[in-house]
Amino acid sequence: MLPSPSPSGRWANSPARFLHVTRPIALPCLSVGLAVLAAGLIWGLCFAPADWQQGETVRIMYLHVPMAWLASAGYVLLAACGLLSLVWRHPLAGVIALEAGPLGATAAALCLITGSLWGKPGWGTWWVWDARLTSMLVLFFLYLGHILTIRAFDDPVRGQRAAALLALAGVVDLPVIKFSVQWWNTLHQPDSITLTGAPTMAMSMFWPLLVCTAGFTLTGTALLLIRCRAALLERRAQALALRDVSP
Amino acid sequence: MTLPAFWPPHWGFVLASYGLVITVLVVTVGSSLLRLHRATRRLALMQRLQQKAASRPAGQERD
Amino acid sequence: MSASFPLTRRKAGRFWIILACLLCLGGAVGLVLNALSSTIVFFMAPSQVLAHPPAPAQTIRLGGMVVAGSLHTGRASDDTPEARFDVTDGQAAVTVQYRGILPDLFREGQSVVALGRYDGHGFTASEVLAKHDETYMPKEVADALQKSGRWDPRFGPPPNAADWNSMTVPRPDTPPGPGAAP
Repeated sequence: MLPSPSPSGRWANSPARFLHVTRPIALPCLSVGLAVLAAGLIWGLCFAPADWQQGETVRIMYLHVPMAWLASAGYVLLAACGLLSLVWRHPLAGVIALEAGPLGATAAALCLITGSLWGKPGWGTWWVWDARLTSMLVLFFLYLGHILTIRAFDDPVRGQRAAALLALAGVVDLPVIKFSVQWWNTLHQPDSITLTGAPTMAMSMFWPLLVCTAGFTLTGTALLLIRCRAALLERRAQALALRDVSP
Repeated sequence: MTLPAFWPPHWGFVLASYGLVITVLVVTVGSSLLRLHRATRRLALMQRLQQKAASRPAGQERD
Repeated sequence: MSASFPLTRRKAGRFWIILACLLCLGGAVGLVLNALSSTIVFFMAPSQVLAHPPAPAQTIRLGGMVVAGSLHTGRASDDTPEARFDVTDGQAAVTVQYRGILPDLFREGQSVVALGRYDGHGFTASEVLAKHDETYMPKEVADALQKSGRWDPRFGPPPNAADWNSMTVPRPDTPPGPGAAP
């Protein structure tokens, strides 16, 4: 891919600043994230209690819920990047959107697959077309569309703008996912943890879930930083190589 | 697949999900770190070449 | 925000156009979802089925709680398991006939979704799914709650998680406390 035309104006050196700021953060963030994640996963897999009805399959929740959270949060990030690149033409927004897409799509896919692996022993079916599951599948396809769109143009800036529009339009799916279990009868259970009410979950299951969510979030953030750094360094090297061959 | 008798029911579903997620995680972390490593090395190489080209008299070709 | 992300006239124009597009899109999606809400609903409750009986040939999903004491299981002549149980939403109940293996989470007091046909008298299911609720409770707590006699899983959803500790404290008249639970 061609390097983007050198940005001008207010954020001309924001990629350099990003590289400078994230250099001491990215790898420590990854190590801490992986350590927290390892603790949370071992807690959830070996020490958290089995559910009185679901038995051991409740442990799938410690993967499924963080993946659903990361997929939704990643899409909010994509939309924010879309707004930044459409309105302010921020040079970093395109890079972050380019790198966040595959990570978010992975989270959405893992959310769907782990949910399916829970659904078979739990509900008695791998998949149903209820509102929660369908809207989550739509989110996965929005990610796929974004990944393809942002890479589909020869001119990366045009790809970024088209993908930004898609990301912003897809935001309507997020409230549908969130509230589908309240608006309609679904096979999927309502949320156990809400901002307003007390969790309908035993604390011995809530804490490992929280640790796993924190671990996945930190690891995901670190991966995003690492991939954005790599992308910016690749561009810089490419720009140098081009300058080198041109007289 | 026959499960050992002491395994609780549905343990296979749990292990399948943990195995899948951990595999994907290892692959993603590994490939991201590798990509960062390669990009850093390539940029350092380019910067060295640039310095060499600048210190050399003009007219000489690289590669 | 406005200091670090200044809105010049052109930027403000782009910002408002995007916001207007998003609002239109959100409104359109909201209207569509509202219009389709009866089709998006994954299942019908027994009272809805009784109030508006579907055509006998139409396949519908019936959802509700299995009435305590209504489950009768047996085996058909070809040895497939058979089950008959009542599903209620608290206002009405429909009897469901099912031939096949029930899911693991199926029990009395549990919510289920049955796929099948309603002929005006009973519901013949071709598939039964167990619906899980949002309560996640360790087995020990469930045993202790049942032992304390303050919750019977056959008669409804579990109590609030915040009350579990106080509820599993044994009453003076029940000698074996929750500590005796394995």
